[in-house]
Amino acid sequence: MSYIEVIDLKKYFPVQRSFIEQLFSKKKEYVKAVDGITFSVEKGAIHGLVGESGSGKSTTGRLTIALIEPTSGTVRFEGKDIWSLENNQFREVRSKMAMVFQDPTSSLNPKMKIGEQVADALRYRPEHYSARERRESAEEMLERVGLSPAESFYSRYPHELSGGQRQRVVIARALVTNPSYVVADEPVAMVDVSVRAQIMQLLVDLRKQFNLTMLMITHDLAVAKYMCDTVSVMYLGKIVEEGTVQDVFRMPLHPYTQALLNAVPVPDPENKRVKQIPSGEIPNPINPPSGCRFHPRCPIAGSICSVKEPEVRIVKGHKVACHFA
Amino acid sequence: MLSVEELNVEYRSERGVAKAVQDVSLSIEKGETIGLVGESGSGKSTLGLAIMRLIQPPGRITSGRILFEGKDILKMKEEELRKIRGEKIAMVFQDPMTSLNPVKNIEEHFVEYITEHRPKLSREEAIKMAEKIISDVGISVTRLKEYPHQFSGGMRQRVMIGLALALEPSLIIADEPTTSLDVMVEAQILELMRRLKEKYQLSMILITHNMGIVAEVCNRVAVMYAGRIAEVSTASMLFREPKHPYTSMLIESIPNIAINDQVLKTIPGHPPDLTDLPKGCPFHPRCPFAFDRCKVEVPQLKEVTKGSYAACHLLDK
Repeated sequence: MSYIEVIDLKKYFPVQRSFIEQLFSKKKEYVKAVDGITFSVEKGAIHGLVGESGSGKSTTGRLTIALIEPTSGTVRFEGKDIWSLENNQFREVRSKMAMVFQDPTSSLNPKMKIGEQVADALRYRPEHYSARERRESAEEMLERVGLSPAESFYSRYPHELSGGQRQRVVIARALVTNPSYVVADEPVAMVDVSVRAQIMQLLVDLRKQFNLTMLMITHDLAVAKYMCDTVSVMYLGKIVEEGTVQDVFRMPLHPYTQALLNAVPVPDPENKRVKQIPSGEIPNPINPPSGCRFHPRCPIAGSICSVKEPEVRIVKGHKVACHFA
Repeated sequence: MLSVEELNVEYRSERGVAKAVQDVSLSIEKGETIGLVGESGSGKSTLGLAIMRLIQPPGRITSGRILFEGKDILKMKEEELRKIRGEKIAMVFQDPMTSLNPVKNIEEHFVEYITEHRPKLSREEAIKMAEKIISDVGISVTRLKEYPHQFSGGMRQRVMIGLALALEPSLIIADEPTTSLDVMVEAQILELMRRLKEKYQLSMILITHNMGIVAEVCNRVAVMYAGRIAEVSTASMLFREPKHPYTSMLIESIPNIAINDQVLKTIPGHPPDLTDLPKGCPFHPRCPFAFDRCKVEVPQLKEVTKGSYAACHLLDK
């Protein structure tokens, strides 16, 4: 049994219509942020969701920890369909989930001591921690994310810390509740380049120590390749390719994955490649292209691609949705 | 073509004086693309703005010279400066949305920009120029009447590049031109810039934090750390034989998509506070090779091998 299982999940956001548009009953439109995706994450694995902005990866992350309710489809956590649970069971499942956000500056309260922000995450737990227990747990967690000595860091404010240290606080706050499943949404995107490796290493270490299952959302394919065990490549609300990082990154089968990998700048001047970049940009998710959503930009698209949506098939050991794979 | 000599820029705030650029000397040859690479706070953007004399208060250029075609930009009168900005040196910024006026169409942006600098040109002539440039940057001429919000992020950046090129400058300063773009669009824009650089025989200063972009686009690279240049070298030399510990540690800490089973090295600590810089070499608190001299004396940039300069006391040992 997979730890997290997502089946035919959809999330449509209604597009705001003006009063005039409503008056003339113009058809209601939806942004199809996530449009029928199926994937699973094994216990203890780091699964990457990669893709460009607008591909639906953040929405997917939020759906898997029940921050937002799906339009349709199922999210299973430890085998349980989380949207069919009773209130108290739902709360229990939610208490095992946590999220690490991208921007440590806006996700921390500037007027609150960082130790208190970490301790505060324990305030409404079913375990009913005392104030002293909350403080002790927070201090221990600060130590474990490398903010040592914890007593001295506890009473500092966010502005007294560097960007990397603030991201450590955000991680501590997510993990202090002892979750088993963590969604990390671009956890290193806002961190200084020279500090990124530290934060990536910290997440990898904590995964082992806490036996975490992680969903890692990133636009940076090199980060995904370094950190993840398995990966789903998303395009316009669909998963186009999925498998182990080795399979997908060494032997990409979908033209979109190939183009993405080809576009990543490589920090090595000797590595000169001919870049074949598809023209155009990711289209509007309100009216996505018919058939395969990548077909207008695809270098190998045939006549079938604009008519029929490709099924997810297993080719060479991993999943791909392309008529020509 | 352009040479920066002993430049110092500082920002004053309640927290103290932030020394954003310190004793920076750098020259740019005709036709080359030089990368200014560093983290936030390294001074790379400040240096770019200083070259155009666009530092706004509370920032201030405290000393130094910026020689462009033999003349010191810092000593020029406003009038003279206006003939340089846009005409000789133009800038491309990171966020095209905030640089474009949302209530003006693209054609209006070009007309205004061109006639402001060349008042003798008629509106029709300016539109002709705009039409030529807009197709050069890969946008259909029919879209000139459209407004910024009708363009995607990549297309807007193409407009910005078109505007920068409108008066045929010889030097472009591009400050993180692709940072807000997705990787595929980023590759398109970098390719476009490479092509235009050839066509218009431009020199370019590319400011970025992305070592991958540096490796793919630049001939020469200046690595900045805490307001100073740590190392200047050709791109191939910099990646093959980095001379400064910061450069080599940085390269080893970046995930590289082309490497399988990569082991990343982490750099301890974090970049320093510019209002409270460490004594001596600004990198010494994070440097595993630091010795007594590094804590007291600022290392000067010295030629290590031909065309390769680094500021590190280890090189004297």
